Amino acid sequence: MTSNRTLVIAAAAAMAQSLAARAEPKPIVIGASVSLSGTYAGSGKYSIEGTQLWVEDVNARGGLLGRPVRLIYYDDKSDPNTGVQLYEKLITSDTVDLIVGPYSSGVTSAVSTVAEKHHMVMLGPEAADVKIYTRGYKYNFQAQTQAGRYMLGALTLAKANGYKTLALLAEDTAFPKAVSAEVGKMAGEYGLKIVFDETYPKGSSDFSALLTKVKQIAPDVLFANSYLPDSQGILRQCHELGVEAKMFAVAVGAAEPEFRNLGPSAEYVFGATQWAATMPRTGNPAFVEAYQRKFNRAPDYHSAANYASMQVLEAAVKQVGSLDQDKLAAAVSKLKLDTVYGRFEVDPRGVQIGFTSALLQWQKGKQVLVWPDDVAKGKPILPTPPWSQRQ
Amino acid sequence: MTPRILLQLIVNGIMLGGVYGLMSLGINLVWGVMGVVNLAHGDVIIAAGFVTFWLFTRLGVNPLLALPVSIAMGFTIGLCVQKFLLARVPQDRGAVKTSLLMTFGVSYMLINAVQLTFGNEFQTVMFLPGSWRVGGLDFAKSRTLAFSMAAVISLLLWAFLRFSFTGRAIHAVSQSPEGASVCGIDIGRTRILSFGLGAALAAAAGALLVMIFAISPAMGTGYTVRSFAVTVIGGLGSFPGALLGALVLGMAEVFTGYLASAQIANGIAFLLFLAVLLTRPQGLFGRKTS
Repeated sequence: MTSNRTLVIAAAAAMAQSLAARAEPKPIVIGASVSLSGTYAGSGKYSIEGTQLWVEDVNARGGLLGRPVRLIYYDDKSDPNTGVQLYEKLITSDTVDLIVGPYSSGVTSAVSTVAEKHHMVMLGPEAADVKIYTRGYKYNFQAQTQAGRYMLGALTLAKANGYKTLALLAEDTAFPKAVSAEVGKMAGEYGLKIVFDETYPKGSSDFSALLTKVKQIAPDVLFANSYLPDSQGILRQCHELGVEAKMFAVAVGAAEPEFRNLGPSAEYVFGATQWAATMPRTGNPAFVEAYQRKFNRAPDYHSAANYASMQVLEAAVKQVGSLDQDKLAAAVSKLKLDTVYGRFEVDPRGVQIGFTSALLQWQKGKQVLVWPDDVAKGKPILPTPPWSQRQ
Repeated sequence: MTPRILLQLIVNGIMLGGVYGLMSLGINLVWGVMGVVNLAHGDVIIAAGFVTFWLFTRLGVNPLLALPVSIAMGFTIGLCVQKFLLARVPQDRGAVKTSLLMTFGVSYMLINAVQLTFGNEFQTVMFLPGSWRVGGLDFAKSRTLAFSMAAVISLLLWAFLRFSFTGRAIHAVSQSPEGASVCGIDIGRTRILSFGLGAALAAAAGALLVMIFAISPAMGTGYTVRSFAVTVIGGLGSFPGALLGALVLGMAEVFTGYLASAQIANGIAFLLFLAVLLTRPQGLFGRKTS
């Protein structure tokens, strides 16, 4: 008798549980790591905010496959090794349903192997280095503009102004090196000769030795292919050492509002950006407004790139109608989607061929889009006046 | 290399070395007096840097006026760490190890306190951008200022240790605690003061550093290691030695960065460190002790 009664109670409990489950469907959990401390933290915070905004939006639309969406993320400290551990944890211990890539090519490159090993689709919203996607991987897709396109605007303006010599300075990690390499390949087409091409270790603060060399060479154009803190350090020390060039451009950093902290040293500096609030992109105004409301500041291109990645993932999941990773990979590889970041489209390797790049310049303490013409909001000011004549 | 470039590199090396010198004075003092490497040294540097940054950006305080505030903060931190933690370690054979581990714990507390208070991003104080041009050479304004302040502080410290009773007591305790004790010096009090002074020097370095470079909360360990390396290169317990060691390192970094690459410059501190330990363990300018 006792055993019968236990059985009845167990059955009732099971039924109650399944009823409860029906009332509140199990959430779809999305996992990510992001650089919230270390060298990339300045840009990384915008990345995760883009993803967070999408989670809020998708839940407001009734979730994904009728289930609510939840985000789990950890700080990878801008460190590839930590990133690898975190994605292992997300996949094997947190057992997330979907993942999305971290900040920077360096960390993405490292964690792409984890995603591939576990057969998890991973969009790389912050991985511009094409090399990550030319290793025959099947589950990794680039969701950021290719590194080779970052400096197109700066190269175009240099050519238009008849500049002849170009110096390249890069952090010796995946993305900055990729930008230098791609610029090196293209420079000839733009009538530019590379007269200086060196790298410095991640975490450097003193660039005085390298910049003394640059000063001696006196190039027409200086590209700092670096992230926010280095871009600031390099410009500041150019000012201090009196390194003059007709044009200064940085790969990452100038697009961030924090670049303003440089004060007078930020003036006239060009910076790559892949997106701007004023660009005619599908859903852009609504995205910008919702972001401003939620985070009480304007989004930058990192926010938009991550939001766009989630739009792509959402579209793929809806198309497939399940979370089957193989089917999702097939769907993403064929998807052509107009996102807030522009048109998403990858080639058979997974390399992004849709997203484009633009160029801005700091003018009187403000970022002004100056290239390409169809999105430009102002004219580039060139040549850059000598340091002594600024303020 | 033209003579002007050579002179410019020397200027850059001296400026960089001056800051390294101030950074290492505190760790040198504490190590000399207590035989403990303060693993939280770099984190005090960073904490003071962030306090200066905060005072400058939020309250518009001139970083030079923020300097005494940072020094007071560093002194208080050091005082408390010694009085409430290190002084309570039983003075047996394991004392040095326990003290070392304690400073390791303090390091983590400081890193997290700075992260929670000031956020995780790189910050810098944009004070006096640009440079003064003298005789065709560029003297970066912020670096020249930091270097001068570092020189003044080092000089004051030297005079204090040399001429004041308390300073001489610190010297005595570092040479022989038993001997000092016999002469009536309060060892406990002297140690508290030394640790406070060491942390105050770290804080001064941090307040000057943030005017030159961008700092982030997790960078402190790197500065501890660099200060430690400078102390070993220059010579433990020798203040002129530590300063000269710092200048040697500053020059070595600037010249290898110019002649070789930034990667080699980044590691030159440790090459020098090894070379000195192998050939002159008492440091380049240190005296041999029995």
